[in-house]
Amino acid sequence: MVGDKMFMRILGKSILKRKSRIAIGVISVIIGASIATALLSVSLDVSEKVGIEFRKYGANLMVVPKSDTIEVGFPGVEFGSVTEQRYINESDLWKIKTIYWRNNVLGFAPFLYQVVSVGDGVNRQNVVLAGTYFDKNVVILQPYSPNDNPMFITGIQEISPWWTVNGSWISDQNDTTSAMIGIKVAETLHLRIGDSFTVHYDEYAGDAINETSHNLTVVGIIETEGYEDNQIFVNLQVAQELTHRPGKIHTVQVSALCNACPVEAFVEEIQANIPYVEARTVKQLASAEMNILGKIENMMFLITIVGLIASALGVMTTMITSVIERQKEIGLMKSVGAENKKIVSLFLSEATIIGVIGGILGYIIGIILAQFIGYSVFSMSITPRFEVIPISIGISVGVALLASIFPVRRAVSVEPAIVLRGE
Amino acid sequence: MSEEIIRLNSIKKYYDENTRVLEDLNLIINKGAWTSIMGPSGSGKTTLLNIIGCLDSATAGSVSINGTEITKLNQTQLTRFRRENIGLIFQQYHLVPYLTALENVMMAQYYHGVIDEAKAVEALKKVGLGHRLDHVPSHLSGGEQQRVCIARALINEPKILLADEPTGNLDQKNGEIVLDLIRQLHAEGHTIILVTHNSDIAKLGQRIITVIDGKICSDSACTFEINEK
Repeated sequence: MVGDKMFMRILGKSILKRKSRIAIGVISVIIGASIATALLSVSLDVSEKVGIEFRKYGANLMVVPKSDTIEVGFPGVEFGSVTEQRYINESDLWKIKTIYWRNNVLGFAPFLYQVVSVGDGVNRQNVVLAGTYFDKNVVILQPYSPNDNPMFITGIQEISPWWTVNGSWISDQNDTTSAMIGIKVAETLHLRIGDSFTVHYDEYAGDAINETSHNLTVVGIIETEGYEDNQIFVNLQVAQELTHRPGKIHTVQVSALCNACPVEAFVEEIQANIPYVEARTVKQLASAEMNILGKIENMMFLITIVGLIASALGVMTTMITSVIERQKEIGLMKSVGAENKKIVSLFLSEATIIGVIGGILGYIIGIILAQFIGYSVFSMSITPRFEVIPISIGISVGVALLASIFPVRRAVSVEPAIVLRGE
Repeated sequence: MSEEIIRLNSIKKYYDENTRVLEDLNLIINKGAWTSIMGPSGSGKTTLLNIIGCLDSATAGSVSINGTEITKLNQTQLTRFRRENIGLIFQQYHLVPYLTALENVMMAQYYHGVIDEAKAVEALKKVGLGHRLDHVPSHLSGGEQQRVCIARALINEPKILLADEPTGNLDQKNGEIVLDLIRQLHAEGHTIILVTHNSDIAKLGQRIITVIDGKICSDSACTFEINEK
């Protein structure tokens, strides 16, 4: 205990005596630690936020009907292509819950979209009407396993619980008069909760236009900062009846918990169960963003490696200079009885202190660097992560200790008889 | 007849074929004796002192100190042996510049494994530095620094004190103070081996050995024996 106190006294005073030398070592460590912190913070935070963005998209799987594309034109003259409008049958939705990974299907919501007009006379404005499930009991007609629950409650409330809703969700699956509207629709049409409005759908039959109208009451205003802010949401059957497409839907958004399971397996199984659809992962849809993140992570990883090498070289130079400057001191310590392990512990303790201080300061600077990268590349702020602190300090101490191996060997090899020669 | 404490048999020290520092050197030193080693620069006297002090090793021959054959010890064992048996007094004091006088003495205790601050204070008082405990070396005179060095050499109660030109960097007054301390230590029973260029200082010892070209050229003990015969 008294020995530890004396060791700390020698260590503390030797560091204070050579503040500028130690500062160079600390600055070297800060370079690597700040880059490593920035990399980790950006990587963890952006991945998470991009993940949230993906989930905002509604789900991580999108099921759409397969469509035939017909090329149009004359030989040698291509006009482009037309795509036949196809639908998914609502009666097939339960099959999504009968795949091998069914327990990982957290929920799904079908969508039938139609551009409708709202308002009277010349003030009519076009808005996208989306019919969907909010909180629907779906009957699983042929469960995958006899032990499976034959009822599955699902809908947009299940797959998008993070939507900010002012007012209430549509809770009754048979409610045909309530609507939830996006905040931008509410602003454009000056609608508030409790207000009623009429949607009009014009169907072209030859030269004639058949208009169907439906009265709705606003029960909730949605704010997602996404495309939902521009839409009107009603129960699926309302949209189907208004547009005369009973039992039809355009897309299904599926929320699958895929942290460990292969999302491709979901895709294949859903396509096998409902042969006329194709499933796409939202990751595929957002692959560009993921690619950018991946490339930046790779680049920052390389920069981190370079930074850590620079740190190691800086610490090594500092420690070697320290050993050379203190040769007589080392020789003296040995001459009065210091064993090699005491000399090693003195220098490694110095390296550890350089690593810890460099790691803490590197974390602070790394967070600032991460903000800069966050704003300039991803246009988002990076939330400081305290779990990165021990990682930053650990990397810094590790680099400082590794960089000290050669200088410490040199310190151990100091021969007192030579360095204490009396000339 | 006095008990022998150091025995050197056929000691050779070569750095290479052309640099032969010590050549077939034999020496026996008795417990409690004050032996002065003289010789011109480069004669090998400091190398001889370093070999006795376990700071350097002989190329050939054997060194026995206090009954231990030190040429058979490894580096760690030599370090332990040195801190338990030998106190070193350097011409250039070699104090750690950022530690106080007291801490410099306590550092030797720390490496010896027994720290006793009161004893370190006592050692400094003994060398007349009771009022300079908290001064760093740069705030001490040369004589005071040398006295801290002596206190440090003494603190672990070594049997043998090796002093290499202990007054070489001091004025006459401070040199006298240091020599008085060494005389006092000798009177207390320490075995003293002192390297010096100064014949007056050498004469303070009971025995004067002169080393020239790595060999003992004259030994007052032998002269005494011859004269006796």
